[in-house]
Amino acid sequence: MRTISAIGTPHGVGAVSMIRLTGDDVFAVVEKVFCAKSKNACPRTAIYGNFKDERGFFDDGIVILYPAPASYTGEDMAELMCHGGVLATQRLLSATLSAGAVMASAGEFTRRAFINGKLSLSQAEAVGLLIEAKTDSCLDIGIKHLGGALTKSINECSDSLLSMASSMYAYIDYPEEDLTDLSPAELKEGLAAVLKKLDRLKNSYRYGKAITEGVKCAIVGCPNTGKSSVLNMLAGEERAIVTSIAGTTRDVVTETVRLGDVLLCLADTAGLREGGGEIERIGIKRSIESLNGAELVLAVFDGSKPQSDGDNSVIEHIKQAGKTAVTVGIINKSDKGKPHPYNLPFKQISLSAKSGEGAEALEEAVNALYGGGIERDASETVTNARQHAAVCRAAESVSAAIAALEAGYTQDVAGLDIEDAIAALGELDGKRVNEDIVNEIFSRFCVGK
Amino acid sequence: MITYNAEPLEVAVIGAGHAGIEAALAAARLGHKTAIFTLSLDLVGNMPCNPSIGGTGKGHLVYEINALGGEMGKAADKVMLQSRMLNLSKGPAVHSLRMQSDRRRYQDNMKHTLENTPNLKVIQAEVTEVRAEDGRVTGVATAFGAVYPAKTVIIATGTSLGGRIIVGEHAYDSGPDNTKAAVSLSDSLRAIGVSLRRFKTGTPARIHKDSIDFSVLEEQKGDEPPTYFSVEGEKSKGGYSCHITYTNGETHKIIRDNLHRSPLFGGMISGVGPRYCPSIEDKVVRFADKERHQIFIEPMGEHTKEMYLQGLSSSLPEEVQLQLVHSIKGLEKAEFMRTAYAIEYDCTDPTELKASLEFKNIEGLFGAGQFNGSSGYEEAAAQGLIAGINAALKLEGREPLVLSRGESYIGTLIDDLVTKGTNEPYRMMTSRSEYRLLLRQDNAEDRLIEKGRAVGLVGDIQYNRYLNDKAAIEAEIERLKGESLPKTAALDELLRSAGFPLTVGGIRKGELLKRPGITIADIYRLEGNSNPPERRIAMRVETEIRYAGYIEKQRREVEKLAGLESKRLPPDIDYSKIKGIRIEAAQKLAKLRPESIGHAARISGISPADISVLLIYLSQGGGKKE
Repeated sequence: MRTISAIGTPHGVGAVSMIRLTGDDVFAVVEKVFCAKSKNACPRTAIYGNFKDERGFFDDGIVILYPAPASYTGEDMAELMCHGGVLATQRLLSATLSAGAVMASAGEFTRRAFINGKLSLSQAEAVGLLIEAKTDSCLDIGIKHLGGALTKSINECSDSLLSMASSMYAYIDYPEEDLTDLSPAELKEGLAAVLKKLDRLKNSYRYGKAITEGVKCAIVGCPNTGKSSVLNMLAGEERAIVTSIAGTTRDVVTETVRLGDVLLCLADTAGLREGGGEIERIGIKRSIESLNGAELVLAVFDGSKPQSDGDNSVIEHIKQAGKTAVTVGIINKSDKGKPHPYNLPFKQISLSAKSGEGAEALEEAVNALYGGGIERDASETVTNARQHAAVCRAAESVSAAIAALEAGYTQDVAGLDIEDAIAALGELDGKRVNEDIVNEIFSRFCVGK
Repeated sequence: MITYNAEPLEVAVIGAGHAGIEAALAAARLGHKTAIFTLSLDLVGNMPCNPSIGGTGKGHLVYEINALGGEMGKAADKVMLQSRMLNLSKGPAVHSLRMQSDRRRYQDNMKHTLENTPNLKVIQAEVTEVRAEDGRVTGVATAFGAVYPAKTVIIATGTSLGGRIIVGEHAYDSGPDNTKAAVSLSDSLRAIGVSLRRFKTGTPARIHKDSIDFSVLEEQKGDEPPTYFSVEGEKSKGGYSCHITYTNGETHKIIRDNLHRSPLFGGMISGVGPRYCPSIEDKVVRFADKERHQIFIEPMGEHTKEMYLQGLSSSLPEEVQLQLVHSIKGLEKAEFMRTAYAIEYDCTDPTELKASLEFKNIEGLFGAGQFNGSSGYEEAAAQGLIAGINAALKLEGREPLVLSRGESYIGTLIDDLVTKGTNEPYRMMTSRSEYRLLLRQDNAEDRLIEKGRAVGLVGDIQYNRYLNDKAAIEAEIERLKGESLPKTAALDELLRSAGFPLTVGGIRKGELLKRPGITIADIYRLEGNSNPPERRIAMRVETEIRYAGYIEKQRREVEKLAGLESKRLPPDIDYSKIKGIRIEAAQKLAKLRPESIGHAARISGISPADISVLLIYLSQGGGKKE
């Protein structure tokens, strides 16, 4: 395959920058841009020398060569380390390009690793997880998935489904062979065990998503309850801010902040704070929209005052949106003395957004909702929508098989559901081809454009 | 060798076993001048192993052969000794019909059918040579010096090609049942570029009926009334029983003590045997902890006392075979009539074939049956029929008949063979199909008869009866979906006895029928109608209504499959020039030349990433002529 080159370290000033190359002519390219000073230049060891281009030597640094197939991409690879700084790095990249390499497109190294069979689909995804990790737990899961941990728990499920299907089919294909038939009860029991495992995987996505992509969080409450202070408390501390991006579909600025293990995508619902009339109606409409789309609701109340009609109407909106299970009530302004008692249909904590006192209670409450804090096995955490969809499909098929057996349908029907479940799990690692998977690979690796 | 010119043929079929018969009949019936060559006319349609047709997965094949206008099912119906529907409790998708057959009468019948078919010559001669020039087959030559020019040739040589029988320390060149082996043909095939390899199979002993103590054996009767493969034509009444006995510790000890004398374990046999019907010594070695193995005693025919011992296939020396059979309950005094033997034979690698069963590299040359690496009469007949049809279509300049996995077991069988290849004799099983609920025995005509009719093999009587059946089934389904039964004591009783909660009011008949355990006969009883539809119609109606949701789901999957299948890969594609494809994948694809993306995706060792690269290549206009 043609040789590609890319800067592997972030842009900007740093002590060291690294350029990566992979492809058929890597070593020829390196020879043109690097003059080794080390005596014994062995593969997979650091080789010291000088970098050069047509204008002459411009830097010194380290080169490591990885001959195929023992490399990340499975092809010949090289890593070129020069001094950090925009200029030196750019000049080295340009040197590799004039020496015959072409610029790599996004994700191309990982795509080659996948095509050459070095990574499974879920491992390729784990690479993305590692690169984009914003929480420690995410980093931890990324490393474990890269090692194949998720693949292993998925395989356990598909192995037991496979063994059930095969003993069932053995009996069907050899009805007179004196084999012991799997009874419907045994079958149901086996299926139930797999379903339990799949459900655990399925439910782990709540946590997996919370720590990788973040949960959509709406802050609601009557005017002057301190919503903006809560927002500032969450977002205001420099260490908590991770990114600040403009939403693409709605004209709302969202901020992603870390609260313990969980990433919160905060929607600014400033609308509620506007004055009366027309504008207020728009504001209420907006906050209801934001409430409906939220995966976590922080409802803010003024603890220095008794529960008001306004508060009750906020509670009513939350109920109507069906979000009571994912709502945390914040009784704010605990700095003003003992809070008034509030009667809320969801969990409540008391804090002072102004002083930050009681913030840990909020962190605890939110992390409890998203499964953080509990001892969790990284191998059983699903972290992206594709994995989640596949596990859901598998769980659905297994449930359908159980339902078919319970309704008195014959084993030929249950068998098909079991095979569907196996196929769904197989797709997780790209073991089975169908158009959807292929399309997904297309979009993921930006190929064919 | 002095040769002479014999008359030119359009289709030459080598071998008159189950594959050759269907191939020759199809080609001749489609109006092409055909000759079928057999080593012995006394061996036409021989069953050198089980005297039975059908079984799991295989029954499906016979129904499909029948729907396409083939002969096997009709012949089996005429000579049936016992008919049994297997897997009745496992659901309609896996119901499989098996018929014990009168072996000799089956042969007579088939021979007679061949003799009475216009355009067909039936010739006893050993074909020693297949001739080809410039990648195109030109004819066949026989041992007596006759050279037949032929436009197409179908090889259906079964276990006779390079056949060698082994019993203990004895081995000799032979086809099945001590017939002549075809010894020269293999070299001729190699010379024209057909690659050959060695497979192995075997058969158990036949013993004298009067030497069996039936009083201690378990009897297994046939179904009453019997089910048949076909609707039209003459039917045998059957009424014969099979019997069951088991091996025991003593039997296994005899086998283990004599393993060193087994040619299988002694290394005398080099061919690869089927996992699907292992010899008794194989079973004892591989499943050492199993205390007994089941033996099925089957009648060979009405006018013979030979009995077949299914499950006792062996290549141990005769004296050891006698000892081990005598250790089995009921067989203590068994008298051998035919000794069990193993047989090795030459066959080709089916990945050298297209889905039409024509060789990729030799135009006009087709393969069918055991020669293609399969095992079983039904698998052979199915391929023979397709090869015969495709030879005829080729002569007419028409597109070949290629059945898909989504519409047939025959398509599944051929796709498995030509796509994945096989390392052992391939046996059909219901678990090989992904679309079992659609591919039932009972709807074989629904799936395939139009194709058989379009080819020209399905006659008016069968076709018109099918149209009537179809109309009756559709009308009955509509009626049951539309009509309701009032709430009555009889309805309550029916629901209660089938274990379902009672309804509040009445219920639609179709809804009632969806409840497993409730049959169309129950509904007719509640209606007070004493004239329910014929069984084959009633069963179809029940299945279509009860499994409607599942059937629909599978239909959608078949559509998905058709999507990948319709993405054709041009035959002249240069895989080595496609960017991004792995070298091993490119080599494999170049060797197998898959016909579509779907086909390529089923090749072992071709990864999803390779397929995505191929899709990109196609989407970028790859493969189109510039």
